[in-house]
Amino acid sequence: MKKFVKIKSHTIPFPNLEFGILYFFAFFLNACVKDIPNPSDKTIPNGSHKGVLILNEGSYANNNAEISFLDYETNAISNSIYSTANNKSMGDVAQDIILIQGKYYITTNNSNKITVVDALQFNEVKTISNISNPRYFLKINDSVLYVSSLYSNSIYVLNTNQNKVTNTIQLDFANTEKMILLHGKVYATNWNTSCNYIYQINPFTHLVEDKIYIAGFAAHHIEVDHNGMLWILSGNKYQNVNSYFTVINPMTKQIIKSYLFAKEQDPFRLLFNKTRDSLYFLQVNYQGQNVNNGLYKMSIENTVLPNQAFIPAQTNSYFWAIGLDTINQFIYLSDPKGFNQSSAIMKYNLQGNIIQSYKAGIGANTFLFP
Amino acid sequence: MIFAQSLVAQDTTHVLKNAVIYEQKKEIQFSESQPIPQEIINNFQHTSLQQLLEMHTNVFVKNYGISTLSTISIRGSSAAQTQVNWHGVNINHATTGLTDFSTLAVSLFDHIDIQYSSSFKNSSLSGSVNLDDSKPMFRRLFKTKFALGYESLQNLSALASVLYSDQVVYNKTKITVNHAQNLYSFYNDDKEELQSTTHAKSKQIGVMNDFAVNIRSKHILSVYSWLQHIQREIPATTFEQFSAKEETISSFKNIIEFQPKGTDYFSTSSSLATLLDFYKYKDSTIRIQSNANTLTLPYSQTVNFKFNRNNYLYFKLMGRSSFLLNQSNSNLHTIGFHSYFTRENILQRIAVKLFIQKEFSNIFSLPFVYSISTKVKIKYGIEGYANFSTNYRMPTLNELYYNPGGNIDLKPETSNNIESGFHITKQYHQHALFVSSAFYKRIVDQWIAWYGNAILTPHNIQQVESKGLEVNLNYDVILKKYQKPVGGFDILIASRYPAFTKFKSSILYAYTLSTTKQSAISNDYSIGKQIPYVPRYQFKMSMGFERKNIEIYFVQTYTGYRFVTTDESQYLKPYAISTIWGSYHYRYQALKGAIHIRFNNILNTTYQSVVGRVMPGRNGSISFTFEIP
Repeated sequence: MKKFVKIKSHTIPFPNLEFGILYFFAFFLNACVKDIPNPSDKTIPNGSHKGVLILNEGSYANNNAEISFLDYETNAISNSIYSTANNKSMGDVAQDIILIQGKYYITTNNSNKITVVDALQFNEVKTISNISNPRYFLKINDSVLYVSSLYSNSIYVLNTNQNKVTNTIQLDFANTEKMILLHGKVYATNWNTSCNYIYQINPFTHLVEDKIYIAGFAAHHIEVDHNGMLWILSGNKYQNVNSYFTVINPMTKQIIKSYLFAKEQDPFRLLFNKTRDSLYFLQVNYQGQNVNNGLYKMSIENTVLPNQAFIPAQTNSYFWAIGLDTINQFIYLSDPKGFNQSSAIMKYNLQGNIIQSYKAGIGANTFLFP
Repeated sequence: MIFAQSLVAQDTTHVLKNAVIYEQKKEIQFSESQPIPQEIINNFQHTSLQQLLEMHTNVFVKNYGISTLSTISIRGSSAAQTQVNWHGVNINHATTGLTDFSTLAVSLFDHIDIQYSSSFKNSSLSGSVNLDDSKPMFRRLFKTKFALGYESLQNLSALASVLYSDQVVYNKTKITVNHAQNLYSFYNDDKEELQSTTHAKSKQIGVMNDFAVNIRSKHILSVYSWLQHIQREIPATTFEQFSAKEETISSFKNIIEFQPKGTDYFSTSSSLATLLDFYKYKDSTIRIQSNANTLTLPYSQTVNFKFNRNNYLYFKLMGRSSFLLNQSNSNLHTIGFHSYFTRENILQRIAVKLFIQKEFSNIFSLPFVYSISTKVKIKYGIEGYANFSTNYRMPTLNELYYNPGGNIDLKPETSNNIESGFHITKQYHQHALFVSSAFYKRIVDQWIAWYGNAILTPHNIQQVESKGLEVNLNYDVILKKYQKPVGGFDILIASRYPAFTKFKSSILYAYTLSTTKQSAISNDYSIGKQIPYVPRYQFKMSMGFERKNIEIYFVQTYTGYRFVTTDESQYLKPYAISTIWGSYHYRYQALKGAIHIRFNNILNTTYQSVVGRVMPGRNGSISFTFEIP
């Protein structure tokens, strides 16, 4: 019969030590931050209140474009309105919004679609998908919208009664941008460094009638002053094309005057005041430096460009959108804070003094006033 | 009694053949590290490294989707703060500073280990993944290995490996080929419809060759070569209508290493590497194409002094030159040294290491960095350690020179790190328990963040604090009533019990708080908020049985909420994934091999690793390996 030698085991404080370690872990884990996100602000604004609708483009490839609303009566901002109303994301990189017959039309260019929502409850009514990288709207009338397109040389003609594309206008180069309707003609820009003209389009036939040459290349913004002169902002700093303001008489199609920006300046977002005798534009310095960075203002009678910002951006920041509340006499600016967090919306008086700031969605880029 | 007489009469002396035991003294680890067990590497032979890391380590894998980029984060770091070393050489891409783990086939590497903090082996802020092959053994050997694999996503892979060695020469060649359709269905919440992946094919070929020559049985010259070519289509996200994006990634890496014969007290080695990377991206719908081609030349010279069995001094002179080939005057050069001194067996239980490093660069002013580490054998299989270190990460070529948007004025990120932890190793009869835990805190200054939408630019914006806890627990037991062997050593020797079932389990837990502490942006909403795509909680559990030549395991992972924005305003939901895998090892005469089967995501969980990228639901794979010794 085999015998086993009994060996005295180690006397080790095994249970006490290990229970001690377990107690320590349990204590530590209980002190950890809970894995629950903070509840976010999700409300639908009161449809009877007036206010500023803010379009947030979101950050590229994060599918987080959104709508915010700043209520004049409560002076409070509602965010994430689209996802609250529809329980899904609106899309990637929202670019423009327009109100037509009780509905908002919104372009999301990286989602290649236009979303139509009810203006009171923001419920999605329709998605129009066969539009390549839609950018900006131009209202021709209550039934017709022109839609420009990034990366494409097309302007789409959208019938808002059927919510269908009924025609396509072909320009010469890719990147059709902002447009304006003036005296029964559409003037369209083409943000391409090969293009040194704008297009005159017949909005009834949807045909290009003429090309009007500008001082520079790559036009992207267009407005009209109180004299009926067209102001075109053009250029592309990162493709080494200097920016210009070109002022054109649309009747004679002649350049009245032009303003050349310095090579390191990057202006965009052109906007006129209520009386259309002064214009505002942003200059953006992506390095966040103080120079060439802020909101600029000039009279249409100025012979030179302003050399100082009317409202300078703070260091490590830049402005991304400008809105003019011509009724209440406020200027709105957005600071996108790098496009990876909520934007700051700042409200200023017309003298450039800050009144209040708010927190909106990611990359606020458009203000729509009632 | 008759039986006993017969026994007395027999000669019971047995003479064994000579056995040669190869082993290298392991460096003492003064921080948390995790070598990946061989059975796990074997089971993941037909996958990329990203899948293995997702299930069996405490790193967080940020998977940008099927057939796309995959990066990792260790302890709340950014992808560029983690280093990937191949034979000790940093192979992070010179432009982006990161490595795409979806392009690393597990079958190319014999050894994989994770270092969970910066150490003398790597200059990264957060940690490293170390990829190695077995060291050459100069004895007569010839082995071939073939493997075929199939995944239900309609992906095929093949591997061939040939090893030849003798007293003078060692050569091992591995070739992997992967052809993937990446086809699966998923429900698209954004479009509210069922969809199948399209435009997600990829083709990959990798060739790795390890060559070494034993010069006069004294000195070893090694040449490691690695050629890789990948072509892949990038599928559309859930919010895009379609995708025509494609990538082509080619790389050719070479390391030449020379190790002259040392003495018991002195050894040295030299290494020179060339890392060529070619990257091409195109999107035919918007007619965009971009290329990034780089050449990196890392070199080093090391000297090791061993004063006695307890005192070591190590000195390394190193340099690295990186060039952006398609953009002139875009380069980054560094030269420097690091040194450490180790003293072991102080009072028979304490080891201490002191480390210092200084580098010089053509662009930045780089600080001295140092670390102080200690390890103590406490008692009863318990060891504790603590270390304090400083470190930095230089901006990458993209961060400096990318056009448009690069920022030549960027400063290096710098960090202060403190870590403490313990290991417990216990064996009791047929039970074996291993517990390791680490507590850490790291503060990174001048954290580089990319801001912008149309034009992205990097800035030294933030100070980020990362702190947390990691736990690794392994428990194994042999399911047999224990009988103490005569001779009475109370030590379990598992090889005595091959016929019996073993139960093995492991738990990995990581709690990570990585938050912005300071920012150069005024009124930054990200202060105090978690860095995007760093989950606060990760949990991975594996349990299984092994008996004779069969093993079967169940793996459960949990990944907590991940914020998409720096102010926590948007997030991705947590997800839990269950996997079953098993292997059958066979032997028929000279041929041996294994069949590996895996069922992933068996509960068919719908989840997104990154916004807009729905990952595969339930899927499976099978692979066969054949080895001819």
